[in-house]
Amino acid sequence: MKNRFKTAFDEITADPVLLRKTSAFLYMQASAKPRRHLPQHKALAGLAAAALFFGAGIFLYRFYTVPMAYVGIDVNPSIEFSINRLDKVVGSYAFNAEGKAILSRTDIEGKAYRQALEDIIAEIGAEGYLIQDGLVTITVQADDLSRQAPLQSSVETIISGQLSHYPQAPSAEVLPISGEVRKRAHGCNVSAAKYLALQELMEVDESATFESYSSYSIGEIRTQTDSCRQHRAHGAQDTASSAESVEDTAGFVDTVEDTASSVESTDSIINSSEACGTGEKKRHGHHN
Amino acid sequence: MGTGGFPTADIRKDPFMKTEAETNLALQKYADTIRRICFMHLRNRNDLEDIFQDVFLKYILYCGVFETEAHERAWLIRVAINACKDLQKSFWRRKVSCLDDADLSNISISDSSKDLLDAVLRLTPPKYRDVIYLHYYEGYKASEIAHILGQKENTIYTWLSRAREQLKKQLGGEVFEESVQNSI
Repeated sequence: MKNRFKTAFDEITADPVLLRKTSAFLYMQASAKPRRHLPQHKALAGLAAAALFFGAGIFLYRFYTVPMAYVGIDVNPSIEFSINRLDKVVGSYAFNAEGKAILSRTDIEGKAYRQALEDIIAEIGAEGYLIQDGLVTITVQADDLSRQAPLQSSVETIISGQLSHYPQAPSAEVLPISGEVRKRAHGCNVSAAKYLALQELMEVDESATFESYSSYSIGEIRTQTDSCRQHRAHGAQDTASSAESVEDTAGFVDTVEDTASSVESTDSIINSSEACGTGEKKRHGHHN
Repeated sequence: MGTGGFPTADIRKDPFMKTEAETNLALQKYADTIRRICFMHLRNRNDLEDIFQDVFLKYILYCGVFETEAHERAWLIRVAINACKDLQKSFWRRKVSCLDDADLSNISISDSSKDLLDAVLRLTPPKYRDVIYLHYYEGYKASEIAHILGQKENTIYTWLSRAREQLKKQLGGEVFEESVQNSI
């Protein structure tokens, strides 16, 4: 038997009129809007007004909308927003679908970057991305280098405060980056934080590419990097201990017993090499 | 329920937008739930239509993937509650404080349900109505409600406890116990 709560609330339903109006509204929003043709005199009046304010508008536009600094947030939602000289958010961008979803629910443009960052972290937390073994990576980059250190310090304080609300908070890091790194990352369509992590991975795994790992979280990329480093280290040890067996094999060994043991050792070396790559790669610095 | 003649996927403004079939299915599954949440917070038909449409607009624009139907329902509930709260942040908005204030357009409430619904609407603050509804009607546990509302689990237990006390005072202890009998 239903309890009275169920019986009472069962009587509250969406009526057909509401549903029809909603369907019609959604249809309008979903379809492309037709171009509206203005009467000629209205169009000319509009052009004249635009010309009148053009000069002042250009100045104000550049003052208020030109980004002077950038903050990137990478959990698995991967987002970057830009800040003007007044510390207001003037643009935002998502590098993946998860980031796009977060941005669709947080109206950050025009807000102070502190509030925007808090709102984004809160929404990311509400979506369940802030898990205990996770990693929150923030990058900061300011065109004016004198703003970079204070911005980084402010962001660290905000992140620390926000994550303290979560009893099982992930670890967090705030990385200063250069404009060059940010541009290169955008060129690969990944966040700056992920770009740096992928660079480290590609140094130890020749088979890794931006395309193959762009959907991974930074934590996962770093785990893979650490794993490859360990494989390479073990591979070097196996190579040293099997040097005798390899020499015998190369000389077409005489006894079956020697051949069997050296083939085993060689297989283990090959397996390690295939997992992580063994090519030499020049290390690139993070700040150019 | 009309389909609204949704455009096909290839002429949607946004490729991430939900299709007609997905939207109609969501309306079919969740319209009543969203209507009930609006009932607890909104006073008039205009506000109801605005919030109701806004919630489903956010749904069709949402480009994330729902892992399960339960996830999808919880997401819509949170969006609806937040939308009602955002609307009521306007200082001139008077809040629903009893059944007489609520929007009952096109709804007929039986006499046996009026006392209970009136008692729920008299819960203050309004967040207590959400937890009572989510627990006793939707059947969510406190941990699930905490996730939906972005609160700690202990906070939800406190809210439920205080809401029950208010309801007991309004309905009488026996009536309240009978009301929640057989609840999940």
